[in-house]
Amino acid sequence: MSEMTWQQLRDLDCGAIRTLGDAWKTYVDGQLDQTERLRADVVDGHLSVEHYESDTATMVRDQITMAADRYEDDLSDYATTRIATTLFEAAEALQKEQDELKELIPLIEQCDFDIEGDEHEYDVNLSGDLHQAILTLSPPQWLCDKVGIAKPDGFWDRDTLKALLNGVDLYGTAIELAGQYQDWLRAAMSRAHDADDDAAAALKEMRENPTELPPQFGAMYDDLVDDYKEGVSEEVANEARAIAEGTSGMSPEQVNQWWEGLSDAEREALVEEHPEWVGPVDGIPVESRDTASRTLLDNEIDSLGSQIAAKEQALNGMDPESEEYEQARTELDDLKQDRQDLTSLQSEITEDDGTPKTAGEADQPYYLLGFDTEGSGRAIVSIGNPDTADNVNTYVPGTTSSLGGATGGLMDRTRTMADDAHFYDPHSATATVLWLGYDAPDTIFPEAIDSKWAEEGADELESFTQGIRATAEGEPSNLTLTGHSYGTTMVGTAAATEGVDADNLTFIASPGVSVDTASALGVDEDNVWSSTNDEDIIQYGPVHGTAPVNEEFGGNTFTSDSPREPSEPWKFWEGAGKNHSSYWDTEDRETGPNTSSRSNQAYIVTGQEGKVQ
Amino acid sequence: MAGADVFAMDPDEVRKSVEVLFEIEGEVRQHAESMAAQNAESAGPLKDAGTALGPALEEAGEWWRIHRAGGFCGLVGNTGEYLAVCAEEAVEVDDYHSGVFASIAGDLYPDRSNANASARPDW
Amino acid sequence: MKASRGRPEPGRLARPLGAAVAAVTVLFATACSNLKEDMEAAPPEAEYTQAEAYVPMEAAAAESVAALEGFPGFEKRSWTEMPCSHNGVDDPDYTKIEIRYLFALPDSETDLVREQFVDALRDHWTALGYRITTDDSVEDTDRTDRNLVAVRDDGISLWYAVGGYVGLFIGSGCVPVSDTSEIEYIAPAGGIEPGGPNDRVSDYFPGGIPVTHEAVAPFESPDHYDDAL
Repeated sequence: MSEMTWQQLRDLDCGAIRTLGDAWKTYVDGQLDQTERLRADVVDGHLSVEHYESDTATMVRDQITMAADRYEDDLSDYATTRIATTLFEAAEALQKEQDELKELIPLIEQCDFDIEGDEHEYDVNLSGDLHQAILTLSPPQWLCDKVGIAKPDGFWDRDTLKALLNGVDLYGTAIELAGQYQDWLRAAMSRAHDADDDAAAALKEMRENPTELPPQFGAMYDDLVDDYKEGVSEEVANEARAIAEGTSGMSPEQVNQWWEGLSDAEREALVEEHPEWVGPVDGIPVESRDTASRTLLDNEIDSLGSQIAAKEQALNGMDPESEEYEQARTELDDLKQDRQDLTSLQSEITEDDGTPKTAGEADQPYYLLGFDTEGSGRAIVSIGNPDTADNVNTYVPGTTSSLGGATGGLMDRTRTMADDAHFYDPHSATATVLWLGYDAPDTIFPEAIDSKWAEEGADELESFTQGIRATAEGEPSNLTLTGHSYGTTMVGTAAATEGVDADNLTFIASPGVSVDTASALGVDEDNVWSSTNDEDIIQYGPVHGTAPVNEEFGGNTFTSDSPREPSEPWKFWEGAGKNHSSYWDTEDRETGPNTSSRSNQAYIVTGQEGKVQ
Repeated sequence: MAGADVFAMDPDEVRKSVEVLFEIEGEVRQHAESMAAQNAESAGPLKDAGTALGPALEEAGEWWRIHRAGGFCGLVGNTGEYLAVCAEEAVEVDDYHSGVFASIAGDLYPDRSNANASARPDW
Repeated sequence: MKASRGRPEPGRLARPLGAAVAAVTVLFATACSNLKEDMEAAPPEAEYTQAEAYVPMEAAAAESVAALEGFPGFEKRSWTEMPCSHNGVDDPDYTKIEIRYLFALPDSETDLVREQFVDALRDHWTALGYRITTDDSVEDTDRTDRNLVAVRDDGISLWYAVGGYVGLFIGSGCVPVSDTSEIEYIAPAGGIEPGGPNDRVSDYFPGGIPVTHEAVAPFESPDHYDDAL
């Protein structure tokens, strides 16, 4: 596990990591010259059939060819995809967080804050000197500037000082800033540790279940070589299974390299025979995932049909008064609900003739990237192909979102976003993804107050964004994550703790994004956007950190009204609730549609930030 | 048409193949050693910096050198030695072991007999 | 003397989250009554159900374009919906209809459609007694976008949106959901071929769009659409 301290991260030579990656790639190229020589000079040269013909000769040529094939696979799979790519990805990720520290640490030092504690949970506290300065009413210039007073010059009498500082909360202000820096520092360290651990895992897993080498000539060679050849034929399947089960340690980029290294026949075989190893995997191109996922969906619906029939039959044989019957009845209802949800999903995205449906004014096909019936259910559906689109908008929904809802309100919102993107930028292609890839809270109280749903989903969302980058054809897309209500907490948590590879973050109706400052999100603050006056205001927020629409949070807002401030900082229920009159706050018969929220979201998604108001 | 009873060999060409195989074996081993050394050198500061990557990287480099590049070298060397034998005398593959190489062709490749003894699995 | 950070200040919620939840729970006792009231608040009474809303909405669209001199015709119509949410939770019993009429892209790029029609509708809707709730524009290097929104007393909104395309979006506000079977077909305004490829309402008519349905809205289509078709 990563144990890097902030000093160690700050001083790390990331360039050297990248250089080593280059060295491995150069090494690999040189080694390929050797295998080329083996084939050209030996198999097709001195040892060709014109110079040596016999059963033994054939066997020896085969052996050399197998050795060359195996070494080339190793050079590709291990030396390049695992070792070199891990080094490049680690260098990039660590460099990014190092750059964050280079910005943050001087700020902490300038404020005379101390960094204390363990590298996995640093505290940023007021130093003793700073405490003293505040206590003796001689606050430093930066603090005076922040609370908006002139700096006492040391000659002022006590009464003058008290008057100056009356109503000004020096401690509160300093602590709030320290808290923001703490969030920022913890987030940068969390992401760095995560990247470090991921890199180590990729290298460690490589050694766990490596492929076999061909046997050497000697006793039992004939049997051993037959076993070897059989093993080779199963290799792709074994690799695909490990990737799908999450035990391979490979990043989506590495998975993509592996996928691209397969033959067409191998890829087709996987899609047809093992869609479960293709459909949900980040790093495999969207079209293949869609084909596989649709097959999985059909199969799952059929399977549920059989399970339902079996359960009904079992019920017939039970005593209706028994507990066993009650239990089975409940199970039957659950199965039926699952089948209904999945059937709705299927008909949402599929024409009667089995071809994909298209959506919206730009007539974009639906692509299915994942689904699950467990818990509240999951559904990942894209309108348009993210691999080829210029812009990708990923909508992360909130509380009560479920698989059932994926064919109702959630998809309506997704379609509206897709239409708006096309409306505001007719000349570029935008893919809009409904990402219900986490188990969303079922209730406002108590579930949406808990951060665990977001914490549990963070890995998945990180992986999803890395997958988008890995499978993109041509230039990387302009990637926006748009969270709604608890979805913003999901996005914020993933961005802060693991890192999301996104260009823009948009928070709508947020109860808090898990950190108190936009700086902690790992995305350029200029590209962090918040709005509250979209469809409604979260009445119970903020509970997951400072509401991102508040000025202290940083980033940008596009509320049409100013955010509602509470009478005391901690009376957060007042903030949102003041003067609240209607059920759906602004989207109602008084004010009509919130046009600026719709257009601003579309401008952000399509890279037209110049038009955001 | 090649069949079980077809046998034709140009021993000089076979011996040239053996040379190439031994050359490749040596070069690959040497390059792997130097890559692993460079890898270990870069892993050092990463280990000192408390990263998880550092130790994992060092182990990966060694694993590559010993098992993958090393495995390939073993195959190439073993094939070369078997071929060296075949150029002198027909030996069934099931009957082959490194002692056979030593007795039948060892003299032709004096620097192999001892230098690579440890690489032969059956010694 | 090195000062410690001390107990969490009331000025900010303390970390870790465990402590925060404890603090928040205490504060919730006070907040709960405010919030409970709000959460038990009923949605407002809507003038129309979903099924009832389409007629006046389509009428509003047709009536608006009748007032536009030089109207070149619309290219596309879509019937769409958006969820109604409260406290960040979508309410499955309500929906928000949006009827979207889009001009063709070449027409969307003309001054007539982007500017003059905005002015004409502003005057027209004001004269009809609708409240203008949004009237803004944003100028960028490539184009100027505009929004003009009028809201009627029955809750129906009319949004003339000038973006990359130009469109007229009619909104219902939050209305109680109707079963698809209750929704009746209305022929589109603006010269769009009823039931044709640009009449995007087929999701509501799984058996096919009933173009010969007698419930074609009884408003007049000016003759000058002919050259736009």
